[in-house]
Amino acid sequence: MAMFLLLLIIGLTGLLAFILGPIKVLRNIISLIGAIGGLLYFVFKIRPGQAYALNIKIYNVHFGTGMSALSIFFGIILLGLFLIFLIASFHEDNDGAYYMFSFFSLLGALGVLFAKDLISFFFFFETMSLFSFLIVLKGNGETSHRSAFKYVMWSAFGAYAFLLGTFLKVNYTHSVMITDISYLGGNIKLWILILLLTPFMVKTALMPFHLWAPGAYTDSKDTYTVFLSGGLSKIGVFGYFIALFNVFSQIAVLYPWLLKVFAYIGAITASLAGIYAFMQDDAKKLLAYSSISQLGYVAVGFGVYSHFSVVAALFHALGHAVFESLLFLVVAGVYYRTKTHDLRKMGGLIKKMPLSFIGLLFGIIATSGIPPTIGFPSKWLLYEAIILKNDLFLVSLVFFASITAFLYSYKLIHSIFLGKLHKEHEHIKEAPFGYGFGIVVLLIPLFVLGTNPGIVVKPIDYIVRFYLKPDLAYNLTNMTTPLGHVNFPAIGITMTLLFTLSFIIYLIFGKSYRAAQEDNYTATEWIDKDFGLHYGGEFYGFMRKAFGKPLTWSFEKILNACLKVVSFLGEIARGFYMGDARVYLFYIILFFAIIVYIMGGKL
Amino acid sequence: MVSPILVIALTLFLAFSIPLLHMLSKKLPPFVPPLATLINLWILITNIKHVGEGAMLITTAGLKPPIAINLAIDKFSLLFAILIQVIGFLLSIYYLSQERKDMRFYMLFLLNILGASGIVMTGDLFNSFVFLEILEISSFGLVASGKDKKALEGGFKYMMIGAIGSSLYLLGIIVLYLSTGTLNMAHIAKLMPSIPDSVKLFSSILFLIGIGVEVELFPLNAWAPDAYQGAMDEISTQLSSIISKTGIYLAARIFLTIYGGLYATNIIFYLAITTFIVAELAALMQKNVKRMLAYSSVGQMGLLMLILSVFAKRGDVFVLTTAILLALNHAFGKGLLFLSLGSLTGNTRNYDIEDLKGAGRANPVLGFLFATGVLSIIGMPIFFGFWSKISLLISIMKANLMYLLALLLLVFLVELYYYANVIVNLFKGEGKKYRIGVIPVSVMLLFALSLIVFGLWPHPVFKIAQNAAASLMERSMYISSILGGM
Amino acid sequence: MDAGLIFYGSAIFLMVMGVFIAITGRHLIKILLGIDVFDTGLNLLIVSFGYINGGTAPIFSKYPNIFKNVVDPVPQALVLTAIVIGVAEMAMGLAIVMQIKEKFGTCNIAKLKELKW
Repeated sequence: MAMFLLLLIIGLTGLLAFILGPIKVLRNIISLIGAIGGLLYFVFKIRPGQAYALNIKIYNVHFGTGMSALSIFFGIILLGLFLIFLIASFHEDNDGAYYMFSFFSLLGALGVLFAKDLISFFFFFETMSLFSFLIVLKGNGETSHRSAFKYVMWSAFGAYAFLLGTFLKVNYTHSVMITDISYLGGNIKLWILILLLTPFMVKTALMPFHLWAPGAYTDSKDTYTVFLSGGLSKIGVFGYFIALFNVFSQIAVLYPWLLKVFAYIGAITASLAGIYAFMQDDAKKLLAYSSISQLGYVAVGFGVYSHFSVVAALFHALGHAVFESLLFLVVAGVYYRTKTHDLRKMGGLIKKMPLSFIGLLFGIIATSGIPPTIGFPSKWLLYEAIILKNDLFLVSLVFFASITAFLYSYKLIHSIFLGKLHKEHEHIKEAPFGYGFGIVVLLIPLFVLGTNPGIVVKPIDYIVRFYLKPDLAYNLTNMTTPLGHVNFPAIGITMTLLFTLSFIIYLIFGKSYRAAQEDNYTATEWIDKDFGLHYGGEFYGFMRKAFGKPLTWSFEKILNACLKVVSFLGEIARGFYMGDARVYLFYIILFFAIIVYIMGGKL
Repeated sequence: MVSPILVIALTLFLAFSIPLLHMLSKKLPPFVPPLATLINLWILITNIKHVGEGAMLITTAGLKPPIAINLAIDKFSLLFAILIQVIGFLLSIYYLSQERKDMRFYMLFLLNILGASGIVMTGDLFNSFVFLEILEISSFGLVASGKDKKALEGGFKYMMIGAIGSSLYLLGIIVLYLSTGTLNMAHIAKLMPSIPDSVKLFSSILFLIGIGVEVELFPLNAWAPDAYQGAMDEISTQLSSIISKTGIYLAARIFLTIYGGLYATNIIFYLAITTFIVAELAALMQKNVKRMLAYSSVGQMGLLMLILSVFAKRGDVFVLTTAILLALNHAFGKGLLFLSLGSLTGNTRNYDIEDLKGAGRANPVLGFLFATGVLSIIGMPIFFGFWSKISLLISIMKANLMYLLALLLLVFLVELYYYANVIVNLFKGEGKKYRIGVIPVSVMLLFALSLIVFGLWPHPVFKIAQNAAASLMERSMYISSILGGM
Repeated sequence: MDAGLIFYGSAIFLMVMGVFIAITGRHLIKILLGIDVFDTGLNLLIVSFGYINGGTAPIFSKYPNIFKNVVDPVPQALVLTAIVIGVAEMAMGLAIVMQIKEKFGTCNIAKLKELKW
């Protein structure tokens, strides 16, 4: 019952926020109360093992919702991020419907976590997709409509694949519950598994299914992107777990090649999206690809399918929620002040927006997986897991992806905060409270979990241990794997000391001077007082030359070819209805003649 | 208890009293249809508790069936009759807001309601032909009543095809009459085993064409997009919500009750799939939103016929319940779509998708209404359409037609593609703002609210649909309740 | 030659001819007439179904029925209704054609090409 009450709280808050739409203050207070209340209720009232079944007699099934430890894990991520998004979003100019949609999308996501049967899983999954689609549609970008369209089409593609898988499963097992199908005979179970995996691959934007993500992340409103990328994509990760463990527990025995393919898809996604990322000139698009790339790691973790690779994957999902949201939030704050996402039009904001700078700095450090941040433990575990699998090509792909992470991270921080300040940005201030609050709040887990990963690894291990043979020993700050031992605070402190040391050395021995705005450090470019040149323009231009050619080949072209075929069929179908009345009459007579001819023998 | 025969008598009386009332005062005619449908609704509702299992028999000439014409109302008919009256009432309220000088329009409207109610209530085959003709002739008039080029062309095409279709329907009736000597539906159903196979087959083909025109099956539905597109928006609503639903009723009654689901259903199965696919593909390429909705309507009718034929193949009360859920969803959803589309274009009758740009953003209420209709039709959760769609897929799964299921899901993706395109277009950029009256908006809101409320709380609708489906399925109960213990 | 055959033959001939006219005709009224001919053929067919050569009117009275060959009255009743309905249909059709002539300025069916997109 508690879960339904929670969904009710969320839903009613959304409705109230819509009704109170015009009265801004009241609406904000109500939605804040709803979100905080939901979070508290979730933390204090919802426990693993609670279940509630809704019986819809006509289907002869119990629609069940029940809690697992995993749902709690993801639920807290979702509700926490939603709160952060909500507080920041009060600075934007939003209407009541926007809040209603966002609350409903949260409701859908929570419902997915609660669902114990595939039909209600689908119900909530579609709810989530629908309302996040409406939010993307309400975005203010020029192309937000195109993006929203792509988003809903891909979501629906995934959802319908899921539905097909569901019905195949129900047809073979006569149960809509999420139950193990690996004991079924025949090859149909493989198809069911793949179909059930599809929507989650779409949600986490794995490579052939990622086409919606850059657009949707870029064109949704800045603060909602925090929730969309950090929060809702976690539903995909949750779905991986459901599909690979609850629905198909014997995958490592039956279809090891599928796991291998999955891991490779993840790794390719991680590296390709990384390459795409550092070629972007739009901050949000860069982050969108970065988000896709980071979720690729999660897929690799699941594909490797050992105890601590899955632990690493889930940990990385949490890490992604923290640092990717942090990055998006910083960019949102910067946009709030500068009104631009274009990296070429920013620069030198470090003195104007120091808190944002700190947020972004540690965000990219975590993205690159450097201690003492949250990105490190998961990547460390992941590398070890892959190395233990003896798959060198996979290792090199993932390492390559990490290199791209360095590259785009550097581009991001340099273009926004370093270099020269633009003239029109001389009078801007730090991002307002809502953004700052989120940044500070997100920085806490970023460090705490980076140095004490045991806090989270313990519950994750508790979940994963049930399915896979544990080979990871850990306590609050230490971890021991078959390959060795690591102490996270020690590494963190060493890293910080090294960094400080080199910074001191740089301060003492570095030959640097302060460059004035019109100081020309770009060789041949002519610069005057009104025109501050910034290196952001052709950042990594040489890379574009190197990688540009292969990247023009894209999945989008294949898709367009398919669309052409379908529209050709549509043109034919339409042709049938283009005659005049006599032609229509002729159809009837012809039909009559054909039917009588076919049935003639029986008459 | 008020005799349901009054529904027919009263509607007929009120329809032809309109010219007299018009002589009294020119303001009176618009108020007649709401009054008539409201009284009909009341009569039908008072009869709900009298309809038990099987059919309620109302004799006309004092003779027991199978001799005289009689009404036979079971829960299935009652559900459709009430649906017709509810939609008719909402539409006639909608008409109140419009300036319409011609009182003949209201007559046609009432005759249309009369024909539809008659078809769903009658227990006599020839009588159903008469009501079908009343329905069709008034529909031709209504479609053409837009009086511009498109309306007239649509009306003429509909008339040509409809006339031939209903003639073949009559021929089918006569063929059945020749071999049974009766026109009573229940009696024919009872005598069905004794009819030679070739007669059954031939008459079922004739019925298939006659009804196929009404329910827009594939090669017979060429008139449909033209008529929907040419008609005024409210008439398109009527076509999709009342007239085609009556066709569905007739199809269910004739192929399931009379033929016992044995003849022509295999043909219908393939025709319905073809209808669905062809219509959705045709809609994909449509730049004219109204014609697109028309194709979508045709496609939905294909789905409905498909589910009826699936029932005939693998009988299950759940499958029939699904059919009713789909019909209800389509009646309300598509009705809402046509109405709100009209308002979104500012009643300019210019439905080009490019010209609709931003209309939803400029008129948020209308945008919401249109979006509600779309989301319900494509079966998104929290709208009623979700339940009908899930039930559809479940019943196809239960019939073990997994390839069909995959195919349907693929076509749903096509459906989503063009609908999402329209939605996205509606909220793109800045559009024109239109003034709309309170009455149309409240009528549309009623449509939309019913979709949302019953989407969140589908139990009562399930219950009703299940009862109706059960009474349609109990063929022997229907026969014995009409003919007595004969 | 059997009388029934003549009736059936001519009825089916009328129906086929009606459809042929409707499909090949260009003028709207010609098409309507084609449909009407089709209807007439159908009505004739129905009547001939109930007809028995040398039969008498189906009059039942308190006296014992002396005639054995009673013509089935129901098809005739049905045809009467069908004729009335056909007239109504024709009236509606002609009304629409009149309007079409007014708006399009032509009665050529090939010129009715408004509804394609």
